[in-house]
Formats: sequence, structure tokens, C-alpha cells
Amino acid sequence: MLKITDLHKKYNDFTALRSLNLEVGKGEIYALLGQNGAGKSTTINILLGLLKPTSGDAFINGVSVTGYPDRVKKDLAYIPETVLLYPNLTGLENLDFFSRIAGFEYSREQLSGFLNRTGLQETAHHKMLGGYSKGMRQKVGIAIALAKDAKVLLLDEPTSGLDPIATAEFTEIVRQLGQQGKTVLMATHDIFNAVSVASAIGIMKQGVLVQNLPSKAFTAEELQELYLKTI
Amino acid sequence: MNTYLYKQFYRNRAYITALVFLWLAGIMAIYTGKKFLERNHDIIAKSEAFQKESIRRNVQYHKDDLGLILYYVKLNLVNKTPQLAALNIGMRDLNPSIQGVTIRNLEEQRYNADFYNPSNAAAGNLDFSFVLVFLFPLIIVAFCYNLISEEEEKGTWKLLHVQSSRPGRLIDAKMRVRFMAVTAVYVVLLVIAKTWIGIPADLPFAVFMISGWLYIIFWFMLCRWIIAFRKSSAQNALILLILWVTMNFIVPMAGNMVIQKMYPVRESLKAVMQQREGYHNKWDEPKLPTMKKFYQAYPQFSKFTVEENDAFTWTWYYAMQHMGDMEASSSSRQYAEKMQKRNNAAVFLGYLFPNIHTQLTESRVAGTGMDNHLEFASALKKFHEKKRLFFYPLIFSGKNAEAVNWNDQAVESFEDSRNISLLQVFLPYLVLIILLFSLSQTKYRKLC
Repeated sequence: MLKITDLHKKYNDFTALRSLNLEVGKGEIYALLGQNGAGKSTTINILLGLLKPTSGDAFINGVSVTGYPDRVKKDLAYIPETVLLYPNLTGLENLDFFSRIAGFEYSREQLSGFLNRTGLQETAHHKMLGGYSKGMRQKVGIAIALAKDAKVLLLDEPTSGLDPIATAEFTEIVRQLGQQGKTVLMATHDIFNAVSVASAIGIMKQGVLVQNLPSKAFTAEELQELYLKTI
Repeated sequence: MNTYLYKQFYRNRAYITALVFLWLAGIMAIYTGKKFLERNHDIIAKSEAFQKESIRRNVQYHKDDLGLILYYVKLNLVNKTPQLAALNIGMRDLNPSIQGVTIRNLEEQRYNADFYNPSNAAAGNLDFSFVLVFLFPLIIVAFCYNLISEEEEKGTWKLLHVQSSRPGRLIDAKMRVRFMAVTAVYVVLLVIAKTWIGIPADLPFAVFMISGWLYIIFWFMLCRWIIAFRKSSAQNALILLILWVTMNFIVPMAGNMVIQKMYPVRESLKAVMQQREGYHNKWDEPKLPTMKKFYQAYPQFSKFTVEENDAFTWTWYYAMQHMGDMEASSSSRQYAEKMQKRNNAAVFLGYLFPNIHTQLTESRVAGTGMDNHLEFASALKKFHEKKRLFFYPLIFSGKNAEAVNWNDQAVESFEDSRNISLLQVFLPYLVLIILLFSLSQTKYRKLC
């Protein structure tokens, strides 16, 4: 479903990605761990079509990211570290707006249904987003991804800054998405979260994928030890 | 999608405040223009009564001396002021819309026509064209400078980029919302102006309206091009403001300096001096050479002879006056030609800078520009000549006031009837708009 082949990205003298190869199958959740600057976000930005790789390519559902970025977008959904939406629209309006620009038109009931699935309280649906907490905004971000019904989800440190309850709720939603057959690539610093939700884990260091492991083989503590040794 | 773009726009108080400000500035400008027009019409209406009264008194006191009556009586020519002039006062606050002249030499009288307080003229007028040319672009810049950069800086760009296969279209849709809002203010103001001032719905009004609208489109296209470079909001704002200052202040000032340097006009003072010398010196010279020149110009008056002696005759007096104009005629013609050249140069500059083009176009259709002033000056000369040729034979043959039907000596009007070349008006806008659209379009494709 998601395949990265020999991906390189250089910024002048700095190499952000070095020969990255990765495959994430249907229904798999892959967690990318690594320090800041390890290349996680660069990988996601290339998959989103926001950056062009220096060499190599990536394929979403068999379609080249560099060759057909517009076609690839149809199969992609993205949840950033901080979901920033329009503060002078309500949560429901934001969801409707982002769905419409993706080509989906839903009824108000359907839109409310997506928001309900994320656990966002009904009373918040019609409040201006300016008054939302970060956790609530993340939920609207998830609803946007759900409404797009994309095959592949790219999550860039999505639980960063969330309180433990919100993190747990978010993790549960991601797990459900995996069970529904969605492919998830998640860049994260949260080792415990990665172990609990991911089917495989990669550790990146200075643009190189140095470890590619099945998550079930480790406890969180073991993975933390390995991570610290690796980086 | 558009509904939400409208909601986003209209829920932003800063945008609404800007639109209200623009609307209020427009209303103030329309009010200023209305007052100008009322004052103008009032002066023109009064001039009719003043002229009648002046004739009545002079006929009463000098009924046996027609030459003396015509020495004093001023005959007025009105430069008709279209209602549209209320929206573009142009040069009408400096150049009079009515000019009274006696049949004595013209060059001396051309500049004796201050109806307005010069200090008011120095302060300038806030007319609708000023609001359009100077304030509308500022609001357009404020609405558009961050259309892309705002999304990047607020963090929504990535999500928009992933959700939409054509983010460029979304940016265009956002721009369209702003364009509709600005256009709505513009149209509402023009509808108010039309109703309040009573501007006829004719071709000049249509040209005025469309040229202003194309000017608005030009600024939107300029913003579209600048923001397509994907600089930060601060950089975009700075670049657009520099362009605004350059177009509205630096280019017109520099252009004016260059045009003045290219076409120095010293002939106005020269013409006044020449006519004064041409006339006054004749008092100390023999009469016959003066009369000879006069008869050469007007052979039909050669039967009215003048003796070479110390006696005063009106024939000799008006011939002397006439000599003043004749001796200044070359300078007067050169003055008009150079002013026309200056105007032509400004028109050419306007083809490159829509703000200048808009000002010139709107003052042209409103009859308030330099070309109208020059046409009026030319019409005044013809009017003056017509009056001379009517009164000369009556004066020279010693007729009294009863020989003239004074009711025929009413205020006359000049109407600017030059054609408007639609191609000349609209093509410069269209070329620049298409150019800017094409330049930005190549960059917008890369947004996808």
C-alpha cells in the first residue's frame, strides 16, 4: 500500500534522507521513531508532495508520488502535530469545508457522525474553533481524515502535547483505523504509544532507517533501551 | 466551499471594518463632489443674472457710447460641467468653469478668473476618483497580501494541500470573495452617486464605471502575482505597499518632472507680456501703422478710417487692443501646443501605469481634465472673436446702445463633444491584467 524506494533528500550540503526503503501494508500501522532532524517529517512531506526528493520515489497504492502527486493525494489523509484550522468557522463547518475541497459533500448528520466517532462532544460541534483545546482540534483533524476515507494516513507526531486521556483516545482511533484496513505511517517521539498501537516500528537516525522492527517483539521498556542505544 | 470562504471573510471584523471605511470614504467623496457641483451650478446660474445686470447698468449710464459699454461689459462663456464631474473634480477646482471676457484683448483676460479660494484648491479635493485610485488599492492589498502566506504561517496550508488537488483554485476562490466584496462596495457607491447626484446613465458614465472596475481588477491581479512568489506575509505587504507608493507618488512626481523638463512652458507669461507691450506701446506710436495691421487682419473694417491726430476714437482703441492679441498669438499658440504635448505625454505614461490612466480617463469622460481645459480655452478664443466681430462694426460706425438687442447677449455654453475611444480606454487595462494573470498562472500551477 505504501512503498518507499531508495529515497534521498539533500538540502545543499545537508542530507536529510539517505537511501530510505520502507513498505507498509494494508491495515498496518508503522511508527517512525527518531530525534528531531532524523528525517521523519521530511519523509512525510515528500509523501504529501510538499517536498521533491533528490532521488528515489515513493508509491501510494502503486502510484508514484513524484510522478502523479495529484492522484496520490486522493488516497492520502494527513494529521499534523497540531491541527490548525480556521478559528472563525465552527468544528462542523471546518470539517465540511475541508471535506468539500477534497470533493466530498456530506449531510450535517453525516458530518456530526464523523465528529462523534472521534469522541468530540456534540455541544462542541457548533462552537467556533477559536475556542477549542488542542485535543479538540486534533479530533476535528481526525474527523477530516475519516471523512476523506483515504487509504493511507500520514500522522506527524499527532499526540505531541496532548494530555494522557486525549492521547489514549487518539491511539484507540488509530488502532481502529488500522483494523478497518487503513495504512498508517506515524512519525512520533512517543515510544509507549508506538508500542501500543503500531504493528511495526522504525528508528531513524540522521536520515537513515537504522532499525526496522516488529513492535510485538518488544515491551515499551525494551524498545526505549534499544532506542537510546541506537540514537 | 464558497459559502465557508464567504463566512470566513465576513466573520472577520477587520475585513468588515475595512469595507465600512472604504464605503464611508466613498460617501464623503461623493458628498464633496455634490457640493462642488452645486457650487459650480450656483455660480453659473448667478452669472446669467450678473451679466444681465451689468449690461443693464452700463446701457443705462453710457447709452450713447457703445464703445464704452463694451469696454466694461463682460460676456460669459460657460464650460458645461457634466454631473459626472462630481466624481472626478480633476482640474475644475483650479480652472474655472465659467469665464467672462470683454471684447478687449483676450490674452490679458484668460487668467482673470479666480472664482474659488486658492487655499481650498491647494488643500485639494477628496473626490471619488481619489478614493478609487488611492484607497481602493490599499484595501485590496490588505485583503490579499497574505492569501497564501497566511495559510502557511497559520499551519493550514499542508492540510489544504493534501485535501485539495488544486490549492491554486482555492486561493483564487478566496480572492474572488474579496473581489466580490470590493466590487460590491464600488457598485453601491456608484449607484448612490448616480441617484444622489443625478448622473445620467450614458456612455461617459459607463466608461467611468468600467474603467474604475478594471482598475480594481488590475490591483487584484497584481496581488495575485506578488503572492504567487510565496514570500512571507510581511514581505508581500512590503512589496505591495512599495508598488502602491511607487505607482501613486514616485512615478507621477518623477513623470511630471520629466514632462516639465521635456516641454518647458514659458509661453503663458510671455504671451501676457507680449500682449501688454503690444497694446500699451501703441498709445505712444503713430495710429496709422496700427490701423494698417488691423485692416490687414480684417479688411472688412478698412472703411472705418482713423485720422493721424490726437483725437481718441474707439476704432483706434480696439485696434490697439487687437494688436495685443496679435503680437501674443504665436506664444499663445505655442503655449496651447506645449500643454497639449504635456497632456499627450501623461496619457502615454498612463498606458504603463493604470493609476495615471484611470485618473486621466475619468477626468476625460467627466470633462475635468487638461484636454477639456485646452478645448475650452480654444472655444473661449472663438467666442471672444465672435463677439468682437459682432460689436466692432457697430462701435466703429458710432452706434449707440439701442443698436444692439441686448437680450441676445446671454451667457453662452461650451460643451465638450470629443469622442471617447473605447479601445484607447480599455486596452491598457486589459493588456496589463492579462499579463499579470499569465505571469501568476504559471506560478499557481506549481501550487498544485
